Amino acid sequence: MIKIAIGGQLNKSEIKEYIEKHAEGKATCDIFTDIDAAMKVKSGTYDFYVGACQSGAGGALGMAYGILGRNKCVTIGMAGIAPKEDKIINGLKNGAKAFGFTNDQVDSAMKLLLKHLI
Amino acid sequence: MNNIDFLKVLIFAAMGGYATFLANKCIAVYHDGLRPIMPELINGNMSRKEISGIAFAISIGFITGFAMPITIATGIIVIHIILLTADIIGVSIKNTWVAVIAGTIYGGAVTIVLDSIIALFDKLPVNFLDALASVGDPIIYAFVAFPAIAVTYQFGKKKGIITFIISLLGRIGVERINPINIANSEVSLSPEGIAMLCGMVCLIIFASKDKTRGDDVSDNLFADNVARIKGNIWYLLPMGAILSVAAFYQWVAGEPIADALLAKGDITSAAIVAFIQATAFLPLIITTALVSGVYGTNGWCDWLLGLGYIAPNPIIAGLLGAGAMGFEVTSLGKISKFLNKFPALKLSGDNIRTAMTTILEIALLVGGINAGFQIWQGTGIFIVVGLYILNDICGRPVIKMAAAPIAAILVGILANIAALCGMLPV
Repeated sequence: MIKIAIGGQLNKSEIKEYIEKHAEGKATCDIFTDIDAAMKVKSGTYDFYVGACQSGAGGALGMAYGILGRNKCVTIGMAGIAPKEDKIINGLKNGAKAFGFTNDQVDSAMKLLLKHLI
Repeated sequence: MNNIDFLKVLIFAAMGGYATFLANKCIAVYHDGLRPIMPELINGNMSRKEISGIAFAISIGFITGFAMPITIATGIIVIHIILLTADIIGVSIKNTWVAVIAGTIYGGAVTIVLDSIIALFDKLPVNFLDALASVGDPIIYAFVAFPAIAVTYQFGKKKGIITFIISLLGRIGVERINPINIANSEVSLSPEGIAMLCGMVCLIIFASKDKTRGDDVSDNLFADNVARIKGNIWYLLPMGAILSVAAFYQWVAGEPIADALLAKGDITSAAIVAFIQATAFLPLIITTALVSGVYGTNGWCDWLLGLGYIAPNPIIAGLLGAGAMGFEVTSLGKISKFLNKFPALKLSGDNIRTAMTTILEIALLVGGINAGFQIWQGTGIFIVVGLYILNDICGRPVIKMAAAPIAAILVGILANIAALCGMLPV
């Protein structure tokens, strides 16, 4: 069972709903402010951070950059560019803990993320 | 070109040039996604070439796919066009003078180009500018629902429905009592403004009842960055002044809602929206500023503009804008502490933004379909709906909320081509 902290700025409830519906009992998640979510992943209480905003980087990952470090963060989808599977695979290989995407990509991004996280 | 146009070009040139200066010196950038990466440039871990690639990749979609179509539809510049490009130029070009000159030329030139495109559309055989302007119509009424939606996200459906009903009653009530007599002159209250206010009061009451308290973590972690931003305060003030002056003339809006309201001449509601946007964006701007030591070019987005809308003259607008920017910077540490202490308020900001985006996505789709119909009846609806769904399936190469407005512009262009070929009776 993995624990996902939902940070970022936008569409948090939608992300939560998606995980609960599609994780098949292999993941739990909770909604926090971006700073709390990042702190919980840093302390190890939660395994991964996910967040959405309009660009997939600023609001989604801003606090994760500051608290977890840039090398632990990956933007998997941005405005006008659909989420890419190889970004997740490479990110996980390099020890990424936080993933960001845009608010209109919740379904496509979470589908790919759950596939590789659980 | 008359005097007013000249002033417009001058102010936007100043805006472009000065914002480029701030980005070049790593004092402030507009894109919230670029800001957290800026320390890599400051520390020399990333080259200007690398960071300009990132700045371009994350901005271009907002410029061409979001700000452009709405600007063309309403005739009022959405600020991303100026400030995101200033980010790109500022971080790309190392020499400050060269960067600033490029930013200044861009700011002035883009204003002339956009006005010329709009003037050109006016001369086409099928004039679709008026129809295109209706893209923003549904926004004017739909945005009133945002407090109810934000409350539902944060506090559940029961409180959401209560908020919805109170907003609705506020709206119907104002419509009923309008116009009212104050000191022998008839005044009409804005039903949208009052309904939104009712909803916001509900949101604030629910949020203040939330007793969750967070830990204070930002204090020591980001002290250096706060000091860096405060040290740059004198550089930031002129930016606030330029933005408010441009807003005073109603030439610029921070996002499509205020843009549509301005286009319809509802200045008060546009100002209210700009102020609420600031409360919604404040956590994001402060967070990214704290982690980077780089501030936001437009401050908290968009109350500097809101102050410009309500200012009595351009000089006071400039003073208010600079003053507001100064207030933001001096209170940076205190406000971030406050936000961390009351996570419910921070979450409210996030939820207001989610609600506004959700509304915009639907309102602009409806507006785009309406405009398509007005330009070319059934064919127009077919094109807009078809392209909207195709864009969805293809992984959204165009941002969801801009897809229908862009499709409507395309309908206008196709209608003109059809008219030129004699396929469409004019």
